[in-house]
Amino acid sequence: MTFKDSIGDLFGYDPVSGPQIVDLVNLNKDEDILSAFNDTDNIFNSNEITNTVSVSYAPTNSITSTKVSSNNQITAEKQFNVQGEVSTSAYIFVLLEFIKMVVVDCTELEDHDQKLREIGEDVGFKLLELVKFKSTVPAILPTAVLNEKLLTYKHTSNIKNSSSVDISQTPKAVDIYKHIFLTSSLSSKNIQTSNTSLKDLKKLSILEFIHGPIWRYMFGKKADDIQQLKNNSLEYIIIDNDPLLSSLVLTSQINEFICGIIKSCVVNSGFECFEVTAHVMEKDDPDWPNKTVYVIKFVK
Amino acid sequence: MVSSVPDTSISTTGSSSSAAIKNSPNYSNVVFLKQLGEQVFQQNMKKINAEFLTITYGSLVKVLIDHYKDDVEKCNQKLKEMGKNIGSRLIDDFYSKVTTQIPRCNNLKDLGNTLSLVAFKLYLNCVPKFLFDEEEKIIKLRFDNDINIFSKFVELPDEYKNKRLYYSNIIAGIIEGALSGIALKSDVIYFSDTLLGDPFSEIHIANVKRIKDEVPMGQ
Repeated sequence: MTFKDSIGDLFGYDPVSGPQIVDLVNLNKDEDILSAFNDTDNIFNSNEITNTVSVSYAPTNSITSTKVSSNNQITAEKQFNVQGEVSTSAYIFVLLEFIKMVVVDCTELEDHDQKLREIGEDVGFKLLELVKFKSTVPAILPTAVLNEKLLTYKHTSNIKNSSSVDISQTPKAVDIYKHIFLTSSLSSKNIQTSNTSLKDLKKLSILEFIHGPIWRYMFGKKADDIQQLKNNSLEYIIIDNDPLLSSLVLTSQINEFICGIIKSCVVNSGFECFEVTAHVMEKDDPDWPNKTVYVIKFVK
Repeated sequence: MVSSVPDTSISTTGSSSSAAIKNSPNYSNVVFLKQLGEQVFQQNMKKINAEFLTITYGSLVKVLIDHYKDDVEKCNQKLKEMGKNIGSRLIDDFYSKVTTQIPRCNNLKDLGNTLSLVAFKLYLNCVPKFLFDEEEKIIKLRFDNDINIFSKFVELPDEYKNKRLYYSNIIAGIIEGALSGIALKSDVIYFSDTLLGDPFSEIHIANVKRIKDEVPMGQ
């Protein structure tokens, strides 16, 4: 008597034969699965995930592990898609209080700006990883959109109408995935998904990445310009006409913090950076009194 | 302990004209507060990415722990102190944004509802669940589902778990500071935290007392 006989013919995972390989094509033909896929009452199909589904304190014991993993996917999806926003004043309250802590309490330090720059570098390293990850991996599509794409694919290839099953006509799973991702308009709100590579090989491309996605992630808008200083080809500047944080309070300290962020983004992408400094150009342009220029000096 | 709930108005304005009370909408209407919070957040507040706040806060707490050389109790105290400083300034900001629409708080339940539905919504864009302990007069704010923005992406090392570092203790300080700004004395405790393995994060606000107006010396 084998192990399989003892457990009988249960539905689901079979430990003897191992995991079953299911082609997406077969799934498409199965009426039960399709109907479950289209069921609007099923919470796993809903676009808006309700707050009740959570893995925050679900037990990770072996018994419930399968359930937890399905929930886990949903929360991962939720965290990926939903970009929360908080008020700027909350951010500034917290940042100012910590700047005050650094300046008042760390009396043994002589150079407080250095400390603020270090905090900025710590933040920048995490930002770079997060934004890079978010912009290179395509956004996870809601189930309803996936459904729609699948249906349109079936319509064009006429699987239903074909009387006999012709293997050459049935699409492979890869083709369907390609169809889904190519036809879907991946539009995430704050980050452009196109034109991003896993690693930036040129100095200009990392600067463009800071100027575009990272700036938009931090402040909700792009920076205004990138320029190269004429005489020295190793010096670049990023221009922000209307900086969000540093125009409000403690300009020099917050600029040090942002310089730290820029520097660690450049350094962690594999370039040697001598220093990043910020300059406020008050008299440059009467329309933008807070215009700030961040100078990035590379090492050859 | 306070057995009697502050029966009169507790707003900053301090004026107790009966006309204002008559005209104000029904305070027990939670839906009104919900709409108010939503509306003011959409219209009056400048916004910034929440994850950026999370990441920055993480780095800053790291600096604090380094500064106090792993002394967790001092860190908790310091976080609360900083929160008090923030709260005393935040209450002005809060009233400048909502004071024309917001009704008066008549009892502790109203206070709790206002805190969770308006104050938390405005600044952190999250709404903790409000529970009220009738017997001991404790306001409980419970963060379900990891909606606490500060503790997203965070996992504490075992060392700090055992010493019970309250990572987002700054919120407790902010509440205490803000309440002292409107002449309410209170004890705010960060009761439990999901980061420390508790089932949910909860903030307890106990011993809410009204500070009586006293005439300054020499007048």
